[in-house]
Amino acid sequence: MIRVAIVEDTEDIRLATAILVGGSQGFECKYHYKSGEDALEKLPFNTVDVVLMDINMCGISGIECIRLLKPKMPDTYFMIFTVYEDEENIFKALKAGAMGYLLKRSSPNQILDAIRDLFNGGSPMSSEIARRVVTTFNPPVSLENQNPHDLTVREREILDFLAKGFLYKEIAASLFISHETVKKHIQNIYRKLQVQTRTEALNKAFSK
Amino acid sequence: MENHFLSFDSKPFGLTIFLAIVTFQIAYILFQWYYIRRSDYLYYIAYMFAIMVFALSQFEYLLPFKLLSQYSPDMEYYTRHSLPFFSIFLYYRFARSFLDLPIERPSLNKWVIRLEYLIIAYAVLSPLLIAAGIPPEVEDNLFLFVCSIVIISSGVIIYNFLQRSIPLFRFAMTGAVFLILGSIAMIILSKMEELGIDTGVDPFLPLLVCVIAELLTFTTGLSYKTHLMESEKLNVERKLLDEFREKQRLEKEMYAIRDNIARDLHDEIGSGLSKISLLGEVIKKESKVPEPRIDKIIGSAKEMIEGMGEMVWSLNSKNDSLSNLIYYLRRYSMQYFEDSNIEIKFNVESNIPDIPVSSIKRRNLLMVYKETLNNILKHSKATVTIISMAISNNELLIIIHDNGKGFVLNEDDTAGNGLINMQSRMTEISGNVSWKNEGGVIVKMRMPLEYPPFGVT
Repeated sequence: MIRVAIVEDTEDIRLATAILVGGSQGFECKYHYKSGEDALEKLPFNTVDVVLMDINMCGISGIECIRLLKPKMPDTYFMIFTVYEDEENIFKALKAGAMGYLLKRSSPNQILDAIRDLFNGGSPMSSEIARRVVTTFNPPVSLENQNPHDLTVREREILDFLAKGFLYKEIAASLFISHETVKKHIQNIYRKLQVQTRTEALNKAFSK
Repeated sequence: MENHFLSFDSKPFGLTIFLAIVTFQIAYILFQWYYIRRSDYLYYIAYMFAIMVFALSQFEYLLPFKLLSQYSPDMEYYTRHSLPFFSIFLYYRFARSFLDLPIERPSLNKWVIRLEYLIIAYAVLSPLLIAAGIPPEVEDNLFLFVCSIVIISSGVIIYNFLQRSIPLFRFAMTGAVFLILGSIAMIILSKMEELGIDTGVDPFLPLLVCVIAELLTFTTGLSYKTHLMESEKLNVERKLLDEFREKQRLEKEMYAIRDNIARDLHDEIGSGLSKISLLGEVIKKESKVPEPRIDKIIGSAKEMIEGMGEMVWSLNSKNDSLSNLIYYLRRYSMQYFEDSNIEIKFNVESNIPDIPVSSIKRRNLLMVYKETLNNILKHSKATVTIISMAISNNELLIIIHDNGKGFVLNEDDTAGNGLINMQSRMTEISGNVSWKNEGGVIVKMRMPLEYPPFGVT
């Protein structure tokens, strides 16, 4: 049973999604919050596997909300719930601790698949986001100086394919791995991205 | 008369120096004029030349050779008063041009022109009178008379100038004062000579000395004026540059505002359409029977959001490079045919230059591309489609070749309209699209690329 929570300020969308997710086999959607503040207050007290977080809310933004909730809920996956594949905001959310994104126009099956994927360790990535991720990480260094938080060769390969507009199944075929493995690699990439973001923030704080 | 100053051991010492200075000045100003075509330079050269001819004619007896007097032995006699007046005439012409008098002081300018007429009139009259046999004393007195008028008028004019002094004028004044002093000295000395007093100095000597002083002053003045003109040019250039930058800044601001409005609009509408889509899905889920109309509503809403998503993509300036465009089209194509039984082969050349592509080009190209893929999916009955993208002749060339049944323009004009729309979209971005029936349909899209002026990384 995957426990899902929804943070979304438009009532109809919130309720509709809750019905679509909660009413499906293997899913439960007991908690929904109509604002980021509400979520910040109540969510940490509830056990939830996946949180669908709207980006554009009045009051505190979804990105900020994720940034504040993630440390309190380390075992929960956060997924950005958005109208467009607005890679600027999605990228910010990913850096703040989100592990994936979902388009509001997705069909119920797509929504459920995405939540399931995320729960099983896989994340989606668009080619625009791939490009951004690549520029955030430093260029590959020699083997001696490799930092465990740097991207591996395989991860860089996958990013490269994604940036060039290849689909998951094409990448899986080229690298002789499965579709799910590609998505697992992506999730690892997001984790490293988050570590890097936190390190940078700490460095900035200490250098002052 | 033994001229002690101008000759040294009867050698024409002073005259040589004078001629040397004037010749070099003429050469210098001539070079300047070659590069900076100003009429005041020409007048000045003419004035110096006249002075030189005058000096030569008066003191030719000092030189070992005959210069002008071989043409007419009485040349010196005839031009004695005329030549200096002619050079003064040229000097006034120069001064008016140098000080931009017609523009700066038009009323004063008229008076100086009248004075010029007087001067040139006497310069022409003097040799004529002498040739006509007027006694020299009469001519001398006439000369002195006209001289006095010229000196007094010049004094008045210079005083008038003092009323509104410009820095440039200071140069003019210094030079003019030298000339006037020299002329006065000349008049006094020649009067004294007339009266039989031996001054031991040739009356024309002080004039020559003052001419040299004036030459040096004026060369400085000419350079100063050039400097002024140059710095004014620089000021104008700087102003234009500032205005241009301001305009660019405003344009940028305007684009930012436009983009913000577009984004807000898209967000609003997108949010509403998402609501429709999700509510529709809920109805479907809760209804036990198939609901085709609900499916249509959901389908329309999703299509609209997709379309708007593409608009947002094409407006976003972060996506404006050519490589971004190509990769976007690639992914779009692969996703489009993912669930169909059409195999897609994609060929892109590996080195895509990092050229910016404008928003409108991205948008229009995307629309035509989509329409083409749509035609293939819906009508072609193809099994394989090859998409190639290449850059040649500053153009992006996209060739889409499917192995379907080819197209036939049917009776109802719907297909025709679609093609016309595509053509006009491409024409709008200075490109074009063409279709050919050959083992299916070959669609060729061309879009011109603009390389940035400073080269491409």
